[in-house]
Parts: sequence; C-alpha cells; structure tokens
Amino acid sequence: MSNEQTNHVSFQLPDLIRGKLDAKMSANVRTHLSECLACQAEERKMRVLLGELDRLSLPHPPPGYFQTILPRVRERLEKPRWTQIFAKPLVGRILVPATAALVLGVAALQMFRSHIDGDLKSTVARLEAEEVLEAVEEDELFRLWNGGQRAVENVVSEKTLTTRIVNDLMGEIALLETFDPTVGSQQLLVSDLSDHDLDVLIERLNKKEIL
Amino acid sequence: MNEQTDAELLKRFHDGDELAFNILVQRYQEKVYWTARRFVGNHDDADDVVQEVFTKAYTALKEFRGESGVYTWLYRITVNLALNAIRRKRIGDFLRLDELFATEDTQSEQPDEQVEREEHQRLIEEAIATLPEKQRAVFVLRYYDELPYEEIAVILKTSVGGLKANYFHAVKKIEEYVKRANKPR
Repeated sequence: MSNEQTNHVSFQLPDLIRGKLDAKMSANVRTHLSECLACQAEERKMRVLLGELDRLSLPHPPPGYFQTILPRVRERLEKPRWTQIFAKPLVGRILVPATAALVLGVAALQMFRSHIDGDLKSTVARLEAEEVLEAVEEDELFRLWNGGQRAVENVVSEKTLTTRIVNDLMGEIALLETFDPTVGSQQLLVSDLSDHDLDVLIERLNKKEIL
Repeated sequence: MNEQTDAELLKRFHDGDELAFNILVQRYQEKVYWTARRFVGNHDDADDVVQEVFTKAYTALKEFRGESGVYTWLYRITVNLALNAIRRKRIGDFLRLDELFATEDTQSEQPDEQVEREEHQRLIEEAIATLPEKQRAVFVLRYYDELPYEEIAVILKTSVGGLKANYFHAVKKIEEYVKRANKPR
C-alpha cells in the first residue's frame, strides 16, 4: 500500500471517528482500515484522545454574561476612537511605555555621548538602528519591564531577552499598522516578515516614525 | 413573528436601522464567544475578543455586501482577532515572566478528582496552545465548531486541499503532547 494512499486515509480518521464522513468515504476508509495495521493503530490512539476531548468541557462564563455583551459593545462604539486606542493593552502597556522609554533612552544616550565627545548630533546620527534600540532596551525598557528580570536571569540571558523584546515589538508594530481582522487569515509575526520588510521597520523605528 | 434572515438584517442595517445590528450581535454572541474562548483559553481574553469583534464588525458591516454569509464573515473576524490576542498575550507573558513563575507554585485545595479533571483540561488547552496558528484555527473550527471544510477554507482564505491534513496533524500533535506530559519521569 502506498504512503500516499495511507496518508490520504489517515487524514480522514478524525472525521471518521467523529462521524463526519459521508457514507461512501466512510466505507472506503473502513475498507482500508481492515487491511492496514498501521492505520488501525493510529485510529485506536486517536479514538482515545478524541473521546477524552469530548468529555472535557470549558467552564461556563459568569451568569448573565451574555446579556452584558451588547450594552458594552454599544458603549465602546459611542466612545471617541482615540480613547479606544489608548485603552488597548498593547498601546497602554507596551507602546506608551516604549515611547516614553525610547524618548528617555535616546535623551540619556545623547547626554552620555555628548559627555564623551561633545558632538551630540553627529554621534547619534552615526548610531545604527539596532544600537539605539539596544541602548533603549538595556537602559530603560528593561527597567520599566523588569518585573521579569529575576526569573529571566535564571532562564535566558539578558541578550536573548533584549533581542526577543525588540523582535516582538517590531512584530507587534507591523501587526498594528497593517492588521485588518476582516481580511483573510493574517500572518504578521516578525518571523513571517520578509527581510526587506524587516529592514523597512528597523529604518522607520530608527527614524521614530512609528513610535 | 418570523425571525429575519441575516441578509434582511444586513439590508436594514445598511438602510440605517441600528436595531438590526443589535439583533445580529445577540444572534451570534454565543458562537463568537465560544470560538474565541477555545482559541484564547480563558474567559477574560475571550471577552476582550468578543468586544473587539463586534466593534470592528459594526464599522466593517457598513462596507460588507454579503459576499459570504454574515456568520462566516464574523467567524473570520473572530479567528483573526483571537489569533492576534494570542500573539499579544505571548509578548505580555514574556514580559511578565516573574508573575508566571509565581503562579506555578500555587497550591490547590480542591478535591483530588476535580484537580485531576482541571489538570487534564489544562493539559489539553496547553497542547492546543502549542499548535501552529493555522492548525489551531482548523482544529477549533472543525472539532469544536464542526464547520465543513469548505466554510473553513472561506474563513481562512485558503484552499480546502490542505485542511484535512492540518486537522489530522493538529490532533496528532495534541495526542503527542498529552502523551509526553503523562510520561513518568
């Protein structure tokens, strides 16, 4: 029996177990199962798991919850748009502190640099985007978000944390800028961005066009 | 009185009848909630998604001309916003690692059976949370919402072809995750 045929049948197993196949397909899969030991074993394991899943149920929301949805939606719709933007967790908890941190960080960096060579503008202009971000992360963002520092010290290196925050932030910024939930399925994490898009983001971040 | 169809409500909304939107919210709020809940795993985040879905839908509905069903269209918004919420949460959790570590040690005083059931529930939710986005979406829409593949394909704007494979691999990954977690060390 070919791998392709086995795969084709295997992919039907979850639907067979849950009774979602039409009669013809169901008969085909059962015929295959009667001849294929590997698929039989697969079907047994899958049946156990799906049986367990069927028995589990999520806890219900608080009583009366569904009656609260519409009034709250209506309330949100009546609020001015800018208050909604700042009410978002990402903006309120991450981007606003990040903006403040960026401003503070760059200012601190400039003061520090000016102390060294007395030429603020040219020094800052020479900094690469990553350097600005890194300085900001290490000097300010880390302090703002240092709730996780103790645990992080035991788990990951500071450098990894810094890089991940930068990457995640950039992913979030890209996502915020282009995200439209009404259009298809969207893959906007930084890991999905092309190198070109990543460069553009770094450039824009450097110019503070976004933050 | 006969219940109005989605298309009739959509037309009423386009004609300026705000009440039509309210009816659509009430008609789909439970489905939207449970789909969001299965994606994000907890009530509070699901509630945020629900609020956001209907707020976005209100604005977007003005441009919506019924290319797909209202129901399918709302599903699409829900899936996208739920996935978005998961991404945000991932970053939020990462930035608050100490809180996560602190909650891990919390002692429970519930009866053994309930603890065991909740533990199993948590394990399955964790397993679902580890699935890649597309597999998670296909799993939730197929397993919990029991949507036909054709409709899932419309919601995720993808072809039907790979969806069965996605569903199968999602089930396999959950199975493997649970097996690994239950393995004696």
